[in-house]
Amino acid sequence: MNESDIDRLLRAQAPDVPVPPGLETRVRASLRAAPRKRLSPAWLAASAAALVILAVIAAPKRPAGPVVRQPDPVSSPSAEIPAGLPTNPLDHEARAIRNDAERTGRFLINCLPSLGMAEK
Amino acid sequence: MASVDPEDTRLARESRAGSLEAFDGIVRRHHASVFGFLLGLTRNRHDAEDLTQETFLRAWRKIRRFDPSKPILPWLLTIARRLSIAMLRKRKPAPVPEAEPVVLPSVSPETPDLWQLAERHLSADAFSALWLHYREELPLAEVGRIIGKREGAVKVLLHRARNTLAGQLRPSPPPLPATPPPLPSIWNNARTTP
Repeated sequence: MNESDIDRLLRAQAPDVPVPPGLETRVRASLRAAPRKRLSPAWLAASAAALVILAVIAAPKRPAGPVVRQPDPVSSPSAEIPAGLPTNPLDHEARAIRNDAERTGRFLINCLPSLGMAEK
Repeated sequence: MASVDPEDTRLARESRAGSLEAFDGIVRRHHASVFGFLLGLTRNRHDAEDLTQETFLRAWRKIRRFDPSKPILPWLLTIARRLSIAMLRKRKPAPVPEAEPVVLPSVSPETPDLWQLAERHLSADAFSALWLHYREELPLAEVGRIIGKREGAVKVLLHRARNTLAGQLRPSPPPLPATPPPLPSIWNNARTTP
């Protein structure tokens, strides 16, 4: 007997399972005894309250006064030219270039101390 | 995909809308299939009954998630299988109850019932696959979805199951005699004569 014979026999001999007589009634009764779960109003209120609390906690806090920008600890502000309101738009560029040049100079002196000695 | 019964579709739609009477219709149409499948998995009539009840309860609670354009029986059987696995996991430390036969004995004792052989010689997964494909006439993809395997794996499972059954039905060779037959006399003569 080969596989196709088995295939044919399995189809032909599909068994009938005897179902217990009261099973359908039992299932239907259990469906009526346990109604579908719904969200109760208490749960809805509790979840809404939790959402509100979360929103309050997570909301970004506004600062009370004006923001004071802390000076950058890496670059010493005394060495740089203080920034004022530029009258000429090119002043800003010029100041930035000067600051860059000073920073570069300081970097080179720090890295190559002999350069500072030679300048003296 | 298995063909969708229009009556099942209608009942599923009405059940989704909240009609318990429509869901009763689904219970009436499919409780036998669910019970048969669960009996094959658990091999215990009492467990299969409890799980059938639990399956329909779960299905009623989750009916809103069901897509009525799809056949409902594979969905019910998937729930049933998951519940049976959960139940067997919970019961693991306890002694396994004695397995009950799922299929009735064949009418004529001369012709062995293939399904009885399947029950005796196949693993639970193989028997489930066989049951779903041949008894419930579900396509391989649907069978795979229910038992948590790919279509290819189901094909292999069924092929092996059929081979096992074919091996069981093959006529066995004649049994060997308990004592070997006596040697021919010529052999004895050859040993005694120089």
